[in-house]
Amino acid sequence: MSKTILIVDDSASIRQVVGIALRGAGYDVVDACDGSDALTKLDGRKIHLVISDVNMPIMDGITFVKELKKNPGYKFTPVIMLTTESQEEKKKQGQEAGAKAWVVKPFKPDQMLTAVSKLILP
Amino acid sequence: MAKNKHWIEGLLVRVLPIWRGQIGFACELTETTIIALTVKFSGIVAELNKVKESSLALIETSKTDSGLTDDSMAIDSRIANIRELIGKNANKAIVEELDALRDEVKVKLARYEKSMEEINVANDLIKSQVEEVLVDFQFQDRVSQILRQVAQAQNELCDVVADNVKSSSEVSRDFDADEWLEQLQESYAMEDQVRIHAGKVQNEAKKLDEITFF
Repeated sequence: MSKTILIVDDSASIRQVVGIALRGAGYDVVDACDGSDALTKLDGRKIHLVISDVNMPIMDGITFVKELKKNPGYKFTPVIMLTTESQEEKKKQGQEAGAKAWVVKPFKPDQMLTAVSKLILP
Repeated sequence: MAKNKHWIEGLLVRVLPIWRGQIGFACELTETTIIALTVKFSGIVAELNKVKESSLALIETSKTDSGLTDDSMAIDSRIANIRELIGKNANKAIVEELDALRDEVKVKLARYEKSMEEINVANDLIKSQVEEVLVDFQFQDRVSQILRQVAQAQNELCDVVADNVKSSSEVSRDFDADEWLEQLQESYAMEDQVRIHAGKVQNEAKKLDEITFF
């Protein structure tokens, strides 16, 4: 059974690009346009990994990860932050929220897939 | 007619929203176009994958249906066995026919292998080009982010100028230009933006592969 990855990004083009890379590697993809939308879409379903943007309207990525980690069902779900932010302070916030990796856009698909395969739940 | 001393502020209050609108329009146009392109591209990639899988399956099926084996050493060995069974005194014509058959099988095998190799080479090339396009698509996200920040800053500046006109003073007492510029700098997500803000030329727009594991 293929594994499911949740993509959270307010940019529709980025959701498409990440989706193309992940589907090409055999993953199932669910997407959401911000943190709040993502929490709604989780709905108890099995998610093997989350890829989230940081700067988003309604609910930003850092708040979303904190909320995700409060849910026992997703406490151990690995999160990759995918963002244009490269400032150390922001990275620290992501790490403290519970993210496992910080990828700066634009990313090369094979590098992203390496990070995904390294972190994804069995 | 004497000019109002706040004419420049008056002009800015009128022109800044216009520029903000133009930037918003440009941002929306590029975003809409890129989204449409990525959707189409996603479809093309899916179709290419199907074509590749079908081509490889077709070649494999043709090879199997022809009763060919991948092992040319095995063909040589079987031909040698037949020659031995026929015996040393076998008709020269039969031996030559066997050799010709062996060569024909080998040529067919080589053709199938070449076709498979060509498909794999083409696939690698397409994969690499797809990856390049996926990287290029992502720059739209940066462009949108920069344009949104400029529009937001213009919005704030417009409010400041409007307040200044209302206060009828030369300079608004509540506004600290240095502080405002500092806040603007702190709002940037990208190092390139910080560099440009500081008056430096940006030259690392295509920096890639910044991945940090925690």
